[in-house]
Amino acid sequence: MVMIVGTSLKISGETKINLNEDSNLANDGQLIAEVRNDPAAFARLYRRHYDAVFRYCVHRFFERQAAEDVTSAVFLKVVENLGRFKGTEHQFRNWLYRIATNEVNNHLRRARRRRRLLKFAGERLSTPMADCHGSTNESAEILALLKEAMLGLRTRYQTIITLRFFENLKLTEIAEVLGSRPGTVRSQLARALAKLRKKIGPALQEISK
Amino acid sequence: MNDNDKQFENFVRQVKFDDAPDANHRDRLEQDLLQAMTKQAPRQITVWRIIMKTKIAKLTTAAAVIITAVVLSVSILDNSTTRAYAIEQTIEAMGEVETVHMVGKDWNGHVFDSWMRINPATGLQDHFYMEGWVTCNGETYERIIVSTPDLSYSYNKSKNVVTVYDGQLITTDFKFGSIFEQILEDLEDEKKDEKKVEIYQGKTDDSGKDVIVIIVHGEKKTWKILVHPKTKLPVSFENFGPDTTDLKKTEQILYNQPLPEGIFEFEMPEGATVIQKQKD
Repeated sequence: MVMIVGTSLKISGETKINLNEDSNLANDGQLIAEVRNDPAAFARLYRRHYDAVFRYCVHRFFERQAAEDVTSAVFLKVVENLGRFKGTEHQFRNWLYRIATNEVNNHLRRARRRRRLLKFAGERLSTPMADCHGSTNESAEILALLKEAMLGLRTRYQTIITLRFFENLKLTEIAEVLGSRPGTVRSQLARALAKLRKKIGPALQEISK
Repeated sequence: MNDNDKQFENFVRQVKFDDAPDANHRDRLEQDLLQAMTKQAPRQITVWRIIMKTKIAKLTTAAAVIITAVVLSVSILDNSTTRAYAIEQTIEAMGEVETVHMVGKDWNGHVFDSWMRINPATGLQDHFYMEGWVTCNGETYERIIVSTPDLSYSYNKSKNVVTVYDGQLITTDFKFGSIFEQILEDLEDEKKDEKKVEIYQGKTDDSGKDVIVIIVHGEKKTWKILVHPKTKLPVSFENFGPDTTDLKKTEQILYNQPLPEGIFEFEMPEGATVIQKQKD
């Protein structure tokens, strides 16, 4: 069973799948140049990208509190390292996803370790599963199923699935984020999906009908 | 997108949960970040303050501190370094590394020498230098590689040919600590039996110093990694296949050393043939 560290999820009536809505990428290059000396320019850059980073995080954790904590950590890294960034506006978005992926994976590792340590000492952290107020049982079940299946994957696979299906990145874009080849990402995506299929196969079939 | 992808995409569309960003968090964080920018607040204090805002973070951290103390006391009682060792400790330690200098030998006894600079934000090595020997298409030659985010150079010294690439070489664009992340994932993966991992306390062959020994038996190669018991950083890597032709040993790894001046600036050798290529 997946254990959740943090607060609950709220189920809304609408599905939000396409999370990469940044239409102002073209202006980032100029903005980045201004940001180093101008907090107001940084604020504009931050507001332009906050939502995408938060949504990527929340789709990795399926949990808001952890997503907010990690989003905070991501932007702190950005503040500290913006001077080192010398890429284009397109590379800036990939850079953000790289930092976010790093922070999410670190967070997941720390959470796993905490659980193991607690188990080792004979304690159980009895954190409840996601609180699904307002949801139908069916959607809550799908969410729980997907969460458990996703968090059971290697972090590399989790990253690829999230970037592909939740953030709608192309394979070439995912490859850029991960510093890998598109062909490698494609085969890893296929392996990740095969693993997910084993875990959520019946539900997938049901929804496909 | 193939049928499998489409089917999963449809499945994801059925998942309904509130993933909308919270404006309050966005505004609060913005203020914290602007303060951090203007005051240049120390990193750790700021991160700690933001993360510790949540009750659950405080509780779980307190629990982890208590339990870590339990684990450490067990370690001391058993006088065993490996007992308390977790691969995560090495991953965390490597997260603090800014430069790496590695020296080693390949199966022919050829020495290689490499430097890398780690980008603290991404954990990826964004600058890389290596001087050594390589076998490619049946030909063995001495080579220098310099890879940066802007331009990369691969210099075949034997033929005096420089290949220039636009951007960072993809073969050098990786996370230095990723091998440990991979080991950890292999250990936790459901197919962990495919790769056998051994961890035990041992000593170095030459100086007899205490180390943590990690052996990873992969499908094609076996890795032997020695980890310093205190810093948790790897001090040597060795990999070998079924025959010794694959053997490569990194004998010395130094961390956070000052970079030699101009190490990532490639100077075009006199009379060299230059080939321009797109990123590989």
